[in-house]
Amino acid sequence: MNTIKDLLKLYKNKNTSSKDVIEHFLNISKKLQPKLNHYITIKEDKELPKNAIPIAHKDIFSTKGLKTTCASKILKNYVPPFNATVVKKLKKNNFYSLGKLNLDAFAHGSTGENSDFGPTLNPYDTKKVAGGSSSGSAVAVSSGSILCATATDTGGSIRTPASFNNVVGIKPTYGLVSRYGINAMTSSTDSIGHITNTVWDNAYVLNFTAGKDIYDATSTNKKIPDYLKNIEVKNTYTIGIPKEYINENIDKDILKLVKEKIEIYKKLGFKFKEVSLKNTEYAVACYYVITPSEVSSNLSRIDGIRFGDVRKYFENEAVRRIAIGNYVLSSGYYDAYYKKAVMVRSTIAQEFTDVFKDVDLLLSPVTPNQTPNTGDVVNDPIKNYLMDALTIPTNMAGLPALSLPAGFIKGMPVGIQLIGPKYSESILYNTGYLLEQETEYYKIKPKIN
Amino acid sequence: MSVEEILSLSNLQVDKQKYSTFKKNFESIIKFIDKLKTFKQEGSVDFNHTGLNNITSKDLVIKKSLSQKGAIMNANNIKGYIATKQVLHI
Repeated sequence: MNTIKDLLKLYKNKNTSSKDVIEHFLNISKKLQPKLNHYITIKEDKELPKNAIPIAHKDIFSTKGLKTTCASKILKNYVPPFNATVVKKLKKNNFYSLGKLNLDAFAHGSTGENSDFGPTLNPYDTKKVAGGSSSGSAVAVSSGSILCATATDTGGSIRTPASFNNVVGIKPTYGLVSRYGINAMTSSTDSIGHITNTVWDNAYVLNFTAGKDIYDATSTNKKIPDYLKNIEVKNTYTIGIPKEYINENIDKDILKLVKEKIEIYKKLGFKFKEVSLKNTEYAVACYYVITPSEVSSNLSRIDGIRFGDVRKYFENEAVRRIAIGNYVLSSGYYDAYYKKAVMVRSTIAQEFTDVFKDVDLLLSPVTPNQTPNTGDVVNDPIKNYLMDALTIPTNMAGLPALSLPAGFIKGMPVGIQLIGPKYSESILYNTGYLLEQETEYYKIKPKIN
Repeated sequence: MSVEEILSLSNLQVDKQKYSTFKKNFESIIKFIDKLKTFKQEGSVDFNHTGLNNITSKDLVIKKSLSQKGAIMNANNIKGYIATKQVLHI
């Protein structure tokens, strides 16, 4: 039982019960926890619904009466008095939570090693990083501990771990899914999504989470389509390949896998065109001005009076980001850094808009490098930040992107991403689904069990 | 502005033994983001990608259920909220 689609069939044919399903996934979660450290808290919901779908939430989503630590020591005892909108919506639609998942503390990181409760380990090779910041979310789905997980993507935090764990991750259009009740990292780029084993499952979950929320003023007012409606239709689109995303800085074996996927799409009737996003080179620097600026503001409320413990419990990465944020926003530096970064961001967004006049969507690798070994990049912030070079521009422009499995290199999974114009999730799912039917990588599971 | 001043203004501390690594990394990040200084602006600044275009006049009305007092009264069992409640004398 690897997918929500399979589980729904079993329920329909009355071949299983909620009790048996949850017991099965709970047992796997508990058995794998000492090996993978993918959970922070394993604790089931109280009321078991009919036809329950096992889920777990990134421990940055507020859960009423259940600890929400953001993987930080400073919030280790924080128990929210309310549920995040997404948690509430999923609960209402038979998603049954098995607990809270590990992450890089406050979602600061790309490898899953920045958690104050220890790193999440990759089920394909525990010496490799899981990817972050939604490390627990990707590992829990990949290892078969649950069928779907909530996650957040501020600069690649859904797509990178999805890529490193052979699972599917959606970073929706900014504002498509409510941010209410999710600890804010960078309020202007935080996107709320989820991770599943297949594209169909992913679209199924988004059908419940997308839409306006009165508690999040930046959530969309648009009518939400049924993301499953046309997912199987054999459409053919024109895909752009940004030359700045396919160059000498990208690992050669990853490029080979990307080219193989392009050939599959060509056989399906898709057309390809080279495009240029020339200011991509500024994206990471721009992100590491805007993000720390918003982080320094968002984390200022954690002061031991209203929330959490005293500020000395902030660990390295959080301290670094708060300090950088306060530095670039301070008098005398604001124009040189923050104002310039806002200009770069607008230009990057405009470049995407221009490119989407010629193509329907874009295809690229998720990361420029293969999965690093634990400890290889975590102590070198610049090396670490550059892992997000291909995911960050999408966040800067508020666009949707879908990370999906593209094969394996030396036994480790590698993903590609499809990027579309705002609110093009249906096209991304359709395109992703057609590739998935050809490759079926979701059938390959790690041998951790 | 020195790293020490920034930490002090941010109400943050770094262990003495970790300080030199922190300072080195901080300075390397500043050097990295200095790349922005070579960017040449074309076009105008646009904030639409930040979700501001989703905000309507209805959203600008302060909702009763989200009042500070309501949030605090609703969360009596939370240690942090109780502290706030005492500070605000509610």
